[in-house]
Amino acid sequence: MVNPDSHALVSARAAGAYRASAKALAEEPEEIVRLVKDSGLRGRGGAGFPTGLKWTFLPKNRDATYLCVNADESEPGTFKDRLILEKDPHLLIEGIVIACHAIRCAHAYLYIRGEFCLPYERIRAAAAEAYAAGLLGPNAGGSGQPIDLTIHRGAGAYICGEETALLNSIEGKKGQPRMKPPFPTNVGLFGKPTVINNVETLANLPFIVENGPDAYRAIGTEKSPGTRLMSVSGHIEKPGVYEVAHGVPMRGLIEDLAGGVRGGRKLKALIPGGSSTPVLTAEEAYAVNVDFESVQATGSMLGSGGCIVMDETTDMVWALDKLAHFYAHESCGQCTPCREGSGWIAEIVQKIAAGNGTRKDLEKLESLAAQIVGNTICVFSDALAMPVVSHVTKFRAEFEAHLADRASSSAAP
Amino acid sequence: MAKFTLNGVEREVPDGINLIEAALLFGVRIPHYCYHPGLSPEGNCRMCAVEIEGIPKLQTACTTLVADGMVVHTESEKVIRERTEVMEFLLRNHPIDCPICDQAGECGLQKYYMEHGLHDSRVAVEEKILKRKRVDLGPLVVLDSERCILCSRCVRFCDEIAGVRELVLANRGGRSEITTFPGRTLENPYSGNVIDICPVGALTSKDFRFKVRVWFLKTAGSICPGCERGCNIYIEQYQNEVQRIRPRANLDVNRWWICDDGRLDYKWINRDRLLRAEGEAGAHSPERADEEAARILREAGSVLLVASPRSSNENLFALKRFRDAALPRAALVGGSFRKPWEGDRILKRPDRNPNRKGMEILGLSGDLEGALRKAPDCVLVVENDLLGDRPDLADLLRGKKLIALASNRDATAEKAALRIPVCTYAETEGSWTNFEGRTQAFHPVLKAVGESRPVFRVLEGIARALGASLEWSDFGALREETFQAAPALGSLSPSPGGGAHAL
Ligand SMILES: Cc1cc2nc3c(=O)[nH]c(=O)nc-3n(C[C@H](O)[C@H](O)[C@H](O)COP(=O)(O)O)c2cc1C
Ligand code: SF4
Ligand code: SF4
Ligand code: SF4
Ligand code: FES
Repeated sequence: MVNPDSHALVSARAAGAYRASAKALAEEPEEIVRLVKDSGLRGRGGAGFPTGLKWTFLPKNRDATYLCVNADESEPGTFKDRLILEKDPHLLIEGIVIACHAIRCAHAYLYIRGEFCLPYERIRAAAAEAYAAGLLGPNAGGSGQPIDLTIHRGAGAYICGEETALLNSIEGKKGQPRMKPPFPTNVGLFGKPTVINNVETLANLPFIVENGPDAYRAIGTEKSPGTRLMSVSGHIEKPGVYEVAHGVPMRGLIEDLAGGVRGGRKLKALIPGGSSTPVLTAEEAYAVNVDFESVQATGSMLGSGGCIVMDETTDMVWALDKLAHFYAHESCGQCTPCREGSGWIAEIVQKIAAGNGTRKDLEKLESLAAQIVGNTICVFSDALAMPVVSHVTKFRAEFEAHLADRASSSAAP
Repeated sequence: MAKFTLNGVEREVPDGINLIEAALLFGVRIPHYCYHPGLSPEGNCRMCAVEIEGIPKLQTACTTLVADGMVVHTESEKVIRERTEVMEFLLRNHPIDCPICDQAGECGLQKYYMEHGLHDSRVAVEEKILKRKRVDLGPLVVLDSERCILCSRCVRFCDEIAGVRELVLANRGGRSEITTFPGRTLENPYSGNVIDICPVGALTSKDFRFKVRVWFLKTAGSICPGCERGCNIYIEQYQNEVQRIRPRANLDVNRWWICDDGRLDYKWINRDRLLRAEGEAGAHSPERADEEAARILREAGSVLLVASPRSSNENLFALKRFRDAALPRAALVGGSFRKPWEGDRILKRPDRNPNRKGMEILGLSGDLEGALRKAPDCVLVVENDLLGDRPDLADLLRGKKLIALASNRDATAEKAALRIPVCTYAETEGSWTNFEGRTQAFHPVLKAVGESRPVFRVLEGIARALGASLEWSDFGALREETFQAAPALGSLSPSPGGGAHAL
């Protein structure tokens, strides 16, 4: 049963929206922080950092605090924030109100991916409704405190989803990451203490406030409480966003919910958490559960929950070629290893994919991936290196088969 | 103070400095490109990575402040490998056109490749990204984008020091490029500094390009003659001609910078020089010139000596002594008619004379125009182009015998009955006292041009011809006497350098 007007305030209210925020606004901010800490909520932007803990990093004495809502969602394979923005924007706004109250923020900024047209229209309309209803504004929800929301559109750079690049972009500067420390909780937007949270992370807050941490913890696993929006794409019968409780088997998500691999073919590989996370072989993929810890145990990450399914017909060199090309295009270009390494890696993968690569090129590829890790301003370069390393090591035979100087098994006469 | 351990040795350093500066205090050089002590640290080149015990990842020394108990390794295996890898990345798209690059010989890529790279290339030349080779950024600066390592020093200089957003790092990834905004040029009055701070041959000087290879240059520390600030500079010469001027760091005066006018304020040293003494009857040997000057001065009923705020303290003092010893009745007044320019909040001072303060301290200021109106028969002008600066003075000077001690064929020298060549500041020792009362020495970099002599030597010669005794065994003796006679000059100011700026 799909409600075509699910994004409207009336529909949201009918479904119980803004009850939790009203409850939160009546509580002391510290109480909300405690609730969120107790709930064990972990960030859905990629790193899975405990949200309540992040909030406590804010300095005790501060004259202003900002909340930045990360709606940049540009990671290939991830499209779950988009769903919230389009279908249930008031859930997000309610989460924003709760977070603002908890961290004593009077002005939140929502940074939305530039290419998100409908989501932008929807969140903008929802914000207008919320202002008109007094849920946002100088006396937000009748609390006597102001909570303003500014929506800022990006201009098409993946890197602006990295939290400090996002801050620069909002400030009108070039969207490139800042050196850390200082961390945003100390020196963030406009130099003030700032919390950056993902859309989905904030969308969990109303449930936690309304039902309490125990109810939240009753879902999911101990280390990954709550549910998770998984974006499933690629060679799959029913691509889409699925909400599952943390801890369900990945096989169930793929085979049952998402209808199985396209055309009844066999699974070859699966990227579990967005393009930056190491690829899993079919075997590994079928053995994991959808939670942070189980995916981490394989050396990969649940990241932003972007599941890319690749069936047996997939050419893994071709797949890596697409990925490497993306990263070479999106490196902000500040750091020497990332700027030069990303382009170089993409070139070599392309050369191998075109059948012109040599054994030396493959070696170079591996050494370059190792070379770009660990000495850069942000983790973008790691996000490139990990897929490279995992593709090459887990599907080495395919890469070797592409080489121009491969040991020929069927020597042509 | 903070105690930290640098390569196994415990050291004590002032708080609040970064690891590059802290290490430098003990002679440990951490290679770096994007860091410049005069600019905010950005940590983008990654060349300065060092190992700090307890932190798994390498850290950038430029952005890490030294802290009590920190244990830092700058030469560990991991660090050395990282440097080689960063060098490989930096050179990956570099054209390596050193044979035609002006920076060759003072290039950060050449230097660190020899010290930290020495890897075999894994790139074929035809695989490199081609970029624009000759971008006209503005009146002083040309950009070669292929050579740029995108350290953003130039961008930060414009933003933070010149205070104008003229340069920007456009595009992303491997397509990143330094550029001006569309339709705009790099034309702030300090633009030339980006040439000096560019660690590679990406930004070169239109004025200096292709003139001479830098290893042929001879250098001396000097002071800019352009205004009262007295910025510290290097003058660099080849075949006894000045080829370029570069800033010399002095944290108290000009930090690492000079203005563009100061940078170009040397052409007159190479051009239109007065090579021999000339009188109305033609050229004179130095001795004849001194005798001729003595004759004119002796025959004149009244004499006015004009001192210049462009002369050194020592020459000004010599002129005073000359008057006392040889022409006690002559009037001696200092002054200049150089039009002031607009100063700014960065370096430029309105008064374009480098030694106004010294002249005041030596008691030589006065009403120059008034003194000229008193109609002296003869005016001896030392290092001062009165007529060039104020053509309207021609009337006042008409009918007076003019003797000019001049380095160049300026308007005053041309009109003089006798002109005697003297050395410029680039050919002599001397000192100027800047507007704050800081007395700074300059040193010769050129050999005296033609038959020019230091001013004080010419004055000695004229005094001798006048039968007076005036003599200094050497410049040092003159300087000593000058500073003794005018204690307010203070002592020569040291030039506190500027940290790890020279790569
Ligand atoms: C290259 C890069 C891109 C990122 N893109 C996004 C993004 O599009 N959306 C997002 O929420 N987080 C993104 N992140 C993660 C953010 O930096 C940040 O960790 C996150 O927004 C924090 O929110 P959370 O604690 O609620 O997860 C990105 C990180 C990197 C390094
Ligand atoms: S690692 Fe890459 S994306 Fe991140 S700051 Fe450096 S150059 Fe930019
Ligand atoms: S032009 Fe020079 S100073 Fe500017 S970014 Fe490039 S290398 Fe650095
Ligand atoms: S500010 Fe004055 S002293 Fe400094 S470089 Fe310019 S002209 Fe010379
Ligand atoms: S990163 Fe430290 S000098 Fe460039």
